[in-house]
Amino acid sequence: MAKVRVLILRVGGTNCDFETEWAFNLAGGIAERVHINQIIKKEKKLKDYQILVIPGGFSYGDDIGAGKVLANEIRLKIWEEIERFIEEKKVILGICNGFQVLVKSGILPFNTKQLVTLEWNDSGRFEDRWVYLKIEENVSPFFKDIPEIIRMPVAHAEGKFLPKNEKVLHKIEKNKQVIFRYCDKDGNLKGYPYNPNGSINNIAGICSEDGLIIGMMPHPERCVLKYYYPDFLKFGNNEIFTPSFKIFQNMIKYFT
Amino acid sequence: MKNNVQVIMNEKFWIVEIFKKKEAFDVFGKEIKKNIKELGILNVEKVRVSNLYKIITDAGKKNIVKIARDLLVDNISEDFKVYRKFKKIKNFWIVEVFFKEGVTDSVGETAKKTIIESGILKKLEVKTGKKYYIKGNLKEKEVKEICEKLLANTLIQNYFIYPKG
Repeated sequence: MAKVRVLILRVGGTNCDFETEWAFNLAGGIAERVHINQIIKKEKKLKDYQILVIPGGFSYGDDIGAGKVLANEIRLKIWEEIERFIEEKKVILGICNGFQVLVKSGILPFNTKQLVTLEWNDSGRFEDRWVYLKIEENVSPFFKDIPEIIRMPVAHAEGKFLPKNEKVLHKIEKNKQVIFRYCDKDGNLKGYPYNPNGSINNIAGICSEDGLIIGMMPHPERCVLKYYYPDFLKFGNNEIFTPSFKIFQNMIKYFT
Repeated sequence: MKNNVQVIMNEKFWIVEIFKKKEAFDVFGKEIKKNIKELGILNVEKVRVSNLYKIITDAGKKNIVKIARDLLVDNISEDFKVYRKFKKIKNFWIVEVFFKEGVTDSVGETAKKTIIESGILKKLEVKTGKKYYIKGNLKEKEVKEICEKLLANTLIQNYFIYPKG
């Protein structure tokens, strides 16, 4: 069986591409960091890959608005290829800044014009710490065999999930497109500091209607091994990987 | 201080002002109000913050509106207006902060790049700034202190104060 090829999309200011590449390689894929200009110049073709990842970072320095410039660039320069990628039911993952790109280009939640945004944190600060997440019943195939409550780090200033109106929010909730929500260690939905940014309904990540396009503010690539946890000694000796690593494994497994 | 950004002879420009919609929370306005009070200026009632894009071009308003709507604004949380001159607002002091001539404006450069790549305009310059609306029973001296200590880095930025309308 041919290995699953993963394209990690780079632009100026991307800074989580190495970790993401490492995580996907560790999960059994062949990951490659590709600059957007290589796709524009047709040196690399999206159709040769099964998974597209827009990693975390500060694309174009977050100028104008986080993810806004890259979202414009995707719409203006490589939209045909992205559309074909989506039509072929391939997987797109946006982490942190990548999530901002996916919502600002309208790819999430319904691949229409922009319907949700990720606003400045209510605290007005960059929130960089561990959070608890409660995995919801969702349509995505990548969150199976993962405990209901997991921990991941967040690191963002613009992560407050804000839909255009109640109707959009209701549709996302009804379609089971919410992947996980910020919560306390027992899974109760609470406000700040558990919800680091003031997200509506504590939403931390969503997926498309078919579950194959994923956007999330927390960074699974920053907690692949148990040693990344501040209290890793609590884990058993035989456990090495964290539950969030399972997301990468499930994505690779989906194509094999 | 003399207004040397707004009035440069024979320069054609538009200002795109981007501000938060009511349903989105103006977190910077809240923070700045808190910071002003920490300076010991307690009469401040409300602060609102907008982002300014000064687009230097011969193009008409229609193109600028398209640029703002399609490229600069987050249509969910932000709204915008396009103008050359603005009206003073009752009860609000207005402060504008722009970079001094010769200081690199990296957000302006990025905005210029994205506008040219969109094909809407071919030749233009973009300068970015901030606009602050400050409500309260303040004297000009106090507003100047707010600008010097809080809103502008006078080494690289100019500020312009417009008294209450």
